[in-house]
Order: sequence, then structure tokens, then C-alpha cells
Amino acid sequence: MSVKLSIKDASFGYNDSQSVWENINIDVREGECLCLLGPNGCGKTTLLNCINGTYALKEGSVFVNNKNIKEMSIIQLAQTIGIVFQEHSAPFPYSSLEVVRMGRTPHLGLFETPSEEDTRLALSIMEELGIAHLAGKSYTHISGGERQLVLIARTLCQQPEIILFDEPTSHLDFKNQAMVLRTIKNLSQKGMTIVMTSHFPNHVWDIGTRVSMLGFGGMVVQGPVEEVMTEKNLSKTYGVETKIYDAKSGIGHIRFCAPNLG
Amino acid sequence: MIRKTTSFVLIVLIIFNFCGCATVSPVGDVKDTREITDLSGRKVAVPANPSRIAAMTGPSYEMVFMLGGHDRIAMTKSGHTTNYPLALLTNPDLANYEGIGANPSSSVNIEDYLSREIDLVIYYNNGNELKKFEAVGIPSIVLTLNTGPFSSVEDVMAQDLDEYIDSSTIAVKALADVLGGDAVEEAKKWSEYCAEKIEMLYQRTHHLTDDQRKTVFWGNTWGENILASYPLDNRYYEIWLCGGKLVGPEAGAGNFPEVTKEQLFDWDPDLILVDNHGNYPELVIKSMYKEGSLWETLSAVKNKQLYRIPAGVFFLDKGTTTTLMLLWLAAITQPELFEDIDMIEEIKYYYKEFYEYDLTDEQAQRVLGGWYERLGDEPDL
Amino acid sequence: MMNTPAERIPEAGIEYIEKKPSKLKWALMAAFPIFLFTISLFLGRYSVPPNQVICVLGQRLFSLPIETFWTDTVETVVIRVRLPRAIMAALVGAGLSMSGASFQGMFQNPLVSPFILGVSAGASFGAATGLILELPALGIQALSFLFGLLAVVITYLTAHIYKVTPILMLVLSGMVVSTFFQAMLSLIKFIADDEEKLPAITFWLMGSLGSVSLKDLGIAAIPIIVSIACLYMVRWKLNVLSMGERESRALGVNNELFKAIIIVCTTVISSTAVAFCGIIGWVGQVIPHFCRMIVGPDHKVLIPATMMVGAGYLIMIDNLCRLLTATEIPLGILTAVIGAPVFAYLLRKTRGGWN
Repeated sequence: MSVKLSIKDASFGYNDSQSVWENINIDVREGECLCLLGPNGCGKTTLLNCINGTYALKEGSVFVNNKNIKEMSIIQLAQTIGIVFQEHSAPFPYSSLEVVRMGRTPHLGLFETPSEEDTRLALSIMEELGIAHLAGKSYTHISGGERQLVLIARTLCQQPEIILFDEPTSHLDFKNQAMVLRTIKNLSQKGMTIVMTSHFPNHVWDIGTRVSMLGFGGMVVQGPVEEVMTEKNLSKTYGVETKIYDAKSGIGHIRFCAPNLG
Repeated sequence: MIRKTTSFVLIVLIIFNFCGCATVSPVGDVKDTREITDLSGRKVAVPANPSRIAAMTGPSYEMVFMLGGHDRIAMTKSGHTTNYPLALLTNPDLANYEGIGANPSSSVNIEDYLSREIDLVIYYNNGNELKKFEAVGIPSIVLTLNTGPFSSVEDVMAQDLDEYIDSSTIAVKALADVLGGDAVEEAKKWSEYCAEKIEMLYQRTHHLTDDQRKTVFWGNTWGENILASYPLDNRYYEIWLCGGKLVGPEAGAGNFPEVTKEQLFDWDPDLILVDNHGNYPELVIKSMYKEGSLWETLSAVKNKQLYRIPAGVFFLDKGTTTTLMLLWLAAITQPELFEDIDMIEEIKYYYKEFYEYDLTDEQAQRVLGGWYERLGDEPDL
Repeated sequence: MMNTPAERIPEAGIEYIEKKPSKLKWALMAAFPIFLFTISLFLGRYSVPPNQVICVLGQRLFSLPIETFWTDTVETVVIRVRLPRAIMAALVGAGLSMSGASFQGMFQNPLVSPFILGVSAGASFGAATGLILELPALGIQALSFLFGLLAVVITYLTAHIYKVTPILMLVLSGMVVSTFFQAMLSLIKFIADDEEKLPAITFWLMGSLGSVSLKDLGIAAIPIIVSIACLYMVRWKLNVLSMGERESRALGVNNELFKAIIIVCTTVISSTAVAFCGIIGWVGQVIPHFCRMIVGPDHKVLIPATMMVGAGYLIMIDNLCRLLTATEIPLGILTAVIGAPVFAYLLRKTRGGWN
């Protein structure tokens, strides 16, 4: 499988003296789902923003399909990489359909407005995600989980090759977390290349194929899920003693981790 | 060493401070004063013989000058020392007078008055500024009559002739009273002249019906804009005296009303007076007469009935010369009724009688043309 | 993955889900300014019989073979007094409303006015300077226009850091620049020694369409129309921009280019409007808010709606200014007297637009 996304020797800092992280090297292959774990403030979101070109790296480069993203225009980047932010409100009460349809922007010229085709595409994507019934409803009036799905639908409208998720389940309740995770899992199973940051290590077993653990200053460890998700690595990354549990139940076997609260 | 320098500097500063105080002489101590009531109703203690007068309102220089008091003026409004060629002609000393800026809303710098030892200020009716003079003991008088806003044309026309004559001469009489001496005689002579002329106008025009009157519009009162007019005031009565009928803003339109273009077309006045307060009245007239101008279809433009308000020592419609202006206005409004008025003679007479100055015919003609040079132009004497 | 379900959506389904403004609504919104413009030509303090109005327009505008049976004054009033005024009112009303809506989208705030970057403060100062220097009308207009542009340029450059101009910086810079020029304006008013300059400045600041001539219209119309066209063409992108710069960039919008286009267009419109008509406030805030209530927040329909409603609104207010009394009621006063309470009412009704 080809390498879809490649980050080489990357470092980032807000000024010349200090770096948030350095010596980051990550390869993501087509169809993989990479989970990015790490404690608060280590720079996971920053790394995502560097991947899609919003922030500039201090050193190193990002390659998509073996092309340096610095050589790509803003529109080309948007056609290739999509990023799903945490759900949030909007200043104006657009309909959910309108928000999803905004995903067609990278395929429209400066003066173009979305066509009938664009609208149909948006609706069909919403249908696939099971939120077509929200199309007419105001984006500001639906629940947090529904908004997150709307944002995912919007990113899908971009028809990207890679999707970045920035802590997609934060702020969501139990049911909504499940809804979103299921959607991401479906996308991954259909072959989309995904990079997802998360506060919840357990999500890795739900949907990840590879995991990178980021600590303060740089990468702690990365690799396939089975190899890397060990008590030692988790404890080291988060700085708290973590235990891994296996449970068998009627439907199957599940693995999860939890901090040792004593 | 530093301590010595500091003390030295401090002592020098203190000395300079006292020097500053020394140039200001306390005003209003041991002088004869009388109490008068000025035209705004204030009771003011004025000196018996004011000799360092600040004539700060527009018309006030001319009024003091007419009453023979120009030697007693220590300071006047800055434009007046340069912009009125006839004022300079009739009083060559005027160019050397002290001039500072003043207008109805400006802020008074009381130091200017204290440093020149002013003993009487003729000022605008602006309560806040007048308080400043009161606070330091400089007597200030207001010579503009508070006729108040008229609520309607009927209100204006409710006065009878004697009331008008009184109200139009009261300011000069009040000033003469303050100046004392010969000024009182001069004022008496002057008000008799005014009364005689005004009564003459009244005799010939008061029976005229509306149809017989010419409509008059008074514009260019501010900006460079013929549409800017005066609010409804005593001018309505004055134009009636001259055999005309004033068209203009209705009552309650604010202090600086501007009529709409269509309204001027609707009135289509017979005569348009172009005031000197707007910028460049001569250019306003020129642009209105120009071919292709917006106003070319107005009767007043077609018949060349645009008239600039005359100006002499001051604008003819203000100060002591209002009567003179009414004579001029009557002659242009009702030429058949006033064939016997020769404005050149009237102006020469007035200047001889009241300014003690012999005007040539040519100079009188220029008064009629609005002889008022803007700052920077060489006065053509 | 993306293709099969699309065909299943019926035509009517999209219409229903989309909740676009009905054809009736569009017809009413278009009729509003057209109707007001037309009757403006028939109304005025100088009364002109309707048939004469029609014939004058027919002969002079459409070169119809009609024999002249009206007076010169009638022709002057209809063609040189009423027509330019009505057209200018429409252009300024449409322009300011669209500018307000664009800025509200760009700044992600439904309360923003098109003057937020300092254009009106700068233009006021320019005009006051021109009045003090006793420049001819063209000079005053030019100075006003240039200072309006200058104020926004200063705001933009002050807010420009590391190749980007963040929205918050723009707002703050705009406040600083506005305050500066307002202070300079106060200085001008203070030194305006004469009794004629201060009222001239004050009257100018209160706004009026009374002095608009055909020549003025010829100069002002082009920049306003071009800018309006520009704003119209990028209107849908405003939806994206209004979600936030981070998101619009992720969706492929060149934020800096886009912000620059919007700022240039709105500034040209505002500067031109202020240069020829003085300060006309409350239009750029109220009309977009009102239109959002009628057609929703989608800028694709909002921008054309503000264009039509804004044009009609200003023509309507200007008619009041020139018809009620013999004297001109300053336009800025009426737009404030009418606009502010309406705005307060709309705020209460929409709860600030954050519903």
C-alpha cells in the first residue's frame, strides 16, 4: 500500500528558541486509521493543523501523495485533505444542509455558487450518515452529536483523500460518542485514510489501525496498535499509571485501559 | 551640586511665575461703574467711561465706530481688521488693532482679555462664555435683542411700525448709553434718521396687497449654497416694509435651514438676495447665471434679479446700516414706487452724516456691489 | 460511495428541504424599490402633472418622438432634480446594505456596520477639511473619498501581521483609526472660526441627498455599481467565511484575498456614498438584519435581498426628507430616528440573531 501522508523531520515552535515538538516522522498508508494520542498541551491539534497547512512547520515537511504540501495551493490542499473540527455553534442559523454543502467550496470557483448537483451530493452524503432528516433544520438547533455528524458530512463533500479528525468525541455524551465513532469506523472500513487525535485511548481499539503517542517535545512511540498499546507506553505518555483489561462477554472480546486510581 | 542646581531652577521658576502674574492687572477695582441692563436681560456693572473696549461680535465694531468710539476700541474680531476695505478707509488705524477670533460657539480664552486690560466686552449671547468674563470681573454686554423664534408669519406681522422701529434701534441706543458722552447725541440723531426713512417706506407699501408684492428669497446664508436660508425672523417684516414678500423656511426649521431644490422652483421668487455669510457670494451668482446651470429656468435668473447684499464698513444688513439696506431693497423690489431713491446719494449722505467721511460715487457703487474682500486679497482702495 | 443515492432525491424534495424564499417573496422584494423609485419621480414640492412626468421621461430618456408641451422648469425638476436623487438613493441604499451584510458575514457578527473600519470617520474629516479650505464641491468630494480610503488603508495595515489580517485586529484597528479621525474632526470644528463654516460642516455630517446633480451621479455611479456587482458575485462564499477563518481556510478559501476583496468593495461604496451624501448611518446595520428575518441567513439570497430592500428603503426615507417640509430634513437624522428603534425592535425579536 502506498504512503498517502508522510511527515518528515518536522518540528514546530511559536518562536525561534522553543519548540512545541521536534523530530516528528510519521507515515500513514492508504486506508489506514492513525490515532494520535498524547496529554493536554503536547501539540496534537497543532500537528493536525500543520498537516493541512494552516500552520507552517519550523523544520521539516509534509508530503501528500509524495508531493510537498508547500507546493500545493489552498484549494488543492482542501481538495485533498479534509479536517473535521470539534463541533461548535455558528453565528448565523444556517440550515444543516447549507453547512454540509459548504464542503463543496474547494470545487467551486471564486464567483460560483453551488449547483443542483452539489446539493444532491450533500443530501446523499447526509443520508448515508443517517442525518438526512436534519437537512432543513437550523444548524444551531440540533444536538452536539448531530452537529459533529454534520461537520463530518461537510468534510466528506470535499471528496478528500485524507480526513483529519480533531478530538471528534470531546463534548459529546455517551450515545453521540458512539454515533460518531461508528461513522468514522465505517469510513475507515470503506478505505478512507484517517488521522484522528483523541483524549480517549480506548478509541484506538475501537477504530484505529496504527497509533502514534505524542509527548511533550516529541514522539514517544508509534506503530501498529497491538504492538504499541502497552501499559508501559500508555503510562509513559500520559504520566499516570495505566492498566489494560481484557473482558469477554456474550458478543465478543473487548480490550480497554483505565488509569490506576488506587 | 545637584541640590544646588535644583534649588536654583526652582527659584527661577517661582520668579517667572510671579512675573507672569505681574502682567495681569486686577480689573474692576477702583473705577466708576453704573448698572445697566443689556439686551439679553442681564444686569451688568459697566464702567462710566469704557476706554478699552473689545468689540467681538460681527456688527459691534461698526456700531462703536458710528457712535464715534473707535478710539476706545482695544480689540476686535480678527476678520474685521482686514476684510472690510471701507472700514480700513474710514479708519486707517484699524489695521493695527488687535484682532482675535470669536464666534457664537467658540471658547473664550480669558487670558486674551485680561492681558489687554479690557474694561468692556461686547459679546455673543452665550451664557457659558459670558460667565468667564463675570468670573474675572470684566463687564460684558450683549447687544443682540432676544426676539426669540417666531412661531408663524402672523406672529411676525403682529408688531406695529413703532414696535419695529423700537426694536431695530434699541441696540445702538443701548450701546450709546454705555459709551456715554457724544455717543448719546449721535444715537439720537441716528434713530431719528432711521425712523424717518422707515416711516417713508411704510407709507408707500403698507397698503400693497400680496399680488402687488414681489416675492423675495434670501439665500447663501452659509456654505456656498443658495438654498441655505435664514430661519423665520424679523427679516420677514423688513421685506414687507420694502414692498416684498419673503419666501423661506417655515417656523421651527432649526437655526441653519436649507430649502429643497424643488421648493425654490415652486416658489420661483421674483428676487433672490445672496447673503455674504456663505462662501464667495459673487461666485454663487456667477454660477447661477452660467449657461446650463440648474437654475436657468428660474424667473429671477432669467430676469437677472440676483442681488448680493451690499457691504461697507460691515455688511449693510447688520449693525447700524439696516435702514440703508432697506432703502436699497425697496428700490429694487418696487422700482416704480421708489423712483426717487438715488442709492448713491443715500450712501454718500449716510457716510458723511454718521461716519464723517466723504465717499466718492465710485466707492458708493462698490458698496452696493458688496465691497468685501476675503482675507488675502489686496483691498482695492 | 458518493453516487447512487443522489438520483433518488426528487426535485420537489430539495425545494421543500431547502426552504428558499418563494417566488412571491422575490417579486415583492423586487417590486418594493421599483415602485418607490417610480413614484419618486412623480412626487415633489413643485407639482408636475403625471402625464408630463411620463412624457418628459419618454422624450429625454427613451428618445421617444414626443413634442415638448411642458415648461423648462418641469423638465429641469424631473430630469435634473428628481431623477439623479432617486437613482443615487437607490445606489447608496443598495450599496450600504450589501456592505453591511458582507461585513456582518465576514466579521461573523450580525451587529456590525459598514463603517467599522473607520471609513466614515476618515471621510468626515476629509470633507470638513475641504469645507474649511473653501474648496469647490468637487474638491470636497475628492478629499472626503480619499480620506475615507486612507482611513481603511491605515486600519488594514495596522492590523496586518505576518502576512495575515486577523478579524479581531481589524476591528480593534478600526476603532483606533475611527477615534483618531473623529478627534481630528473635532479639531477642525474647533478652529472653524467663521459662522458659516461650522454650520456647513455640521449640515454635511448629518447627511443629505439634496445636493446630488446629474454630474455627481455620473461620477459616483460607476464605482458603486462595480463594487455592488463584485459583492453580488462572491456572496455565497460569505457563508463559508462566516463560519470562521480557520474553517474557511480548511475548505479552500483564500481568506486574505477574500477579505481584501470585501474590504475594497465595501470601502469604495461607503467612501463614495459619504463623499457625495454625507454620513448616512443605520442603513448598513438595519437592512441586513431585517432581510435575514425575511429570507434567512444564506448570503446567496440575503445579498440580493438587501440590495433590493436597501434601495427601496433609502428612496422611501429620502422622499420623507424632501417632501415633508420646505426645508431639507437631513437624511442621517431620519435614518437614525427611524432606524434605531427598528433596530432595537429587531434585536429583541431575533434575540441578537443568535437563535
